[in-house]
Amino acid sequence: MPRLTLLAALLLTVAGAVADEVQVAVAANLMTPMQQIAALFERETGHKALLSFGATGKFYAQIANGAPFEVLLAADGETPLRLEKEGLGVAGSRFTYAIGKLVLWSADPDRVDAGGAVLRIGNFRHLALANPKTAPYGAAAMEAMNKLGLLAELQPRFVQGENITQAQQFVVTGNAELGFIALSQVYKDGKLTAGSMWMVPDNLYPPIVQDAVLLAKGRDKPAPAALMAYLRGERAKAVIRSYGYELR
Amino acid sequence: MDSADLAAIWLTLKLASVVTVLLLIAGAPIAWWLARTRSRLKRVIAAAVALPLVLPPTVLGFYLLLVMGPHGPVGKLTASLGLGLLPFTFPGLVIASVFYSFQLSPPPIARMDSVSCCNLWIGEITSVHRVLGKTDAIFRTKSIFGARFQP
Repeated sequence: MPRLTLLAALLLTVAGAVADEVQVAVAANLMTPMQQIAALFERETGHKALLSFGATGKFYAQIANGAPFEVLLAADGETPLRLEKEGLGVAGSRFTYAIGKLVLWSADPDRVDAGGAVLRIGNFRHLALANPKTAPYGAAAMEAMNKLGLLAELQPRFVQGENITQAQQFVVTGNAELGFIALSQVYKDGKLTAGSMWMVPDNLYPPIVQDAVLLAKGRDKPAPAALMAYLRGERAKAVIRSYGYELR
Repeated sequence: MDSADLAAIWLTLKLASVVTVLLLIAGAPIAWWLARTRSRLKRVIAAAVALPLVLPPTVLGFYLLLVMGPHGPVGKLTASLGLGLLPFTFPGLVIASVFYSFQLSPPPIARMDSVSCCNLWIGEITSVHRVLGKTDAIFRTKSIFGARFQP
């Protein structure tokens, strides 16, 4: 009999825990800020946010194929819109949680100049970027090089990461001298955390409007709704801003 | 399907073929040794072989990039031999894939403690799962051959 009680207690605990968890698909550029936000969220609301990081396009494919995510924090506006139109996102739940900034970055503190001339001088072998087909930051990098008239010239040196985290890894390990990554990956509280960078000017790429959407699997559940609300709050916004994102 | 897609498919097929052959060559002797030896090193080697199984692929990839990169020991070696750096090259892909897939090659063979040669490919992965304390079920899905040839 005590065993049964124990089993019942265990089951209840598990059921309780499940009810208060939210499965979140997070665009890779938001990795560090979102870990911080999830910790605050858990402390303040008691709900636990389980985070998966990856390329927005890959998450789209996973969600369309039934992945159990309840909230998506995308690196663009199109994917959440498309999910909503296809009935996979909850209508009216979308909002912009950040506007991303693209940077050209090197782990070497002397390599990238503040004007980005290094791209024209071309004294590097590999240029890392995220796969433009699945990662909005990769697409933005393509657009910027296109506007600069350097796309054809630089293309043979591309090394593509599956997502922006992998693109950054190529550069961090020194295998690619340079890479187009998200400002949020190398910036904290007004300072570059390592290496050297060029802030790609806003007029070279369409704004990276990053939207959040409540997914169909998270409809009418307390934890996903709480997370959506929390992301709109001042605490979350302060964290997002501290990584160099703009906010609306 | 454009030329980039075709290139990706071709590269995948080429990589898979080369890595399969290398794994058969490298996996069999290690499996044979693991199955026969009474050495104390057995557990250490078996654990080392299984290590990529518990590391997420991205983590393993990051460390391979570090080791083979310009500041890593392997990178310094290949550079000093005039071979350049391995990342972003076909040999680099092959080496990384062999590393990652190695766990899948000796364990099914290593079961043959005392049994016949046919058991070689049928076996469950006892030696490894003893090391990790995982259940059979998990390993059956991980073993290439296990699913088809369940005893």
